[in-house]
Amino acid sequence: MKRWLEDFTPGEELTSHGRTVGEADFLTWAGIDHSYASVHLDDQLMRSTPYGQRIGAGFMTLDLSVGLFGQGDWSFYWPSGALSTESWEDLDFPAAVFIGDTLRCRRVIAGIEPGDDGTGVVVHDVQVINQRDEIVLAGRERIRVRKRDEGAGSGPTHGTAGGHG
Amino acid sequence: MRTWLEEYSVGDEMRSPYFRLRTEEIVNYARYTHDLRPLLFDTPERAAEPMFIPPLYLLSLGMCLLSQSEERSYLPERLIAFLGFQTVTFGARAQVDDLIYSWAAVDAVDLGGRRGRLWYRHEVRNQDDAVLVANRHGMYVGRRADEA
Repeated sequence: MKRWLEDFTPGEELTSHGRTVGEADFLTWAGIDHSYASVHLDDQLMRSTPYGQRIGAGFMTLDLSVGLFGQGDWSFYWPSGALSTESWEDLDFPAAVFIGDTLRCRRVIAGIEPGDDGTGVVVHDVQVINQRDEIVLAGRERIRVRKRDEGAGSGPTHGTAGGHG
Repeated sequence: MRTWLEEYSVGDEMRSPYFRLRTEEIVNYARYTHDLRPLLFDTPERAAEPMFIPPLYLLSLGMCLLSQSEERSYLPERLIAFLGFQTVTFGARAQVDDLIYSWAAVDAVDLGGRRGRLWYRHEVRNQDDAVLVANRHGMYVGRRADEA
């Protein structure tokens, strides 16, 4: 489904499907992100901490949150007219992620800010929640999106390369 | 490496080594996260455009590059917890084969309150010093005074 700026409504929300993160996710993420901190990789060390086990990298959770929409309504996150992510605000990791947790991402449209250049900003309140409905990530993402009239004239696009993200 | 919050001062700077953004790194990232924007194209014409580099990849990688800075002082030994980001903004567009690096400066050292806090301004830049990502983030750090 193609969506443009006008197709978003404040208060609209969508929760993604889930993804259970395993030990393989922890190890693979370390290689991809070059993040080799002991808190993510050293089980023996982490057994002696209040966590009692390894904890997932906050950035692993953040970066997985985008792909969680890849199997569902992708256009809710990255619509046809998406140009770029402008910013994140108040990005926080309130609780730890452990091996075996199942993560889902909930996005609520917090606002629409139309501009006068044929685009506008869709503001998403973002939460990643685990299987106990605990919030493990919270933040606000601002995505610049084309208006329908402007986008319709430029041919079909899902924004794959239409901006830096 | 530094240990306590008191060892940091506003204006302390650190800079990471350069890192080359390679196609295979982006592809592996897309496979892992399922953020398929670098791989999927709605029209053949768009496949000819430069590879899309997910902005969160740049942010995540940039943060980890800080740990590779020569000074090795970005994360103190007595790090308690990551506070999060006040803001993250995305600037110039990154390209495959760019050489990127991270630069950070201590923005605030808050010794008061229940727990000490350390705040950084951080930028991910390319070989031309164009800013790709900018942010302000903080962390709780142990105070020597509390240990005494």
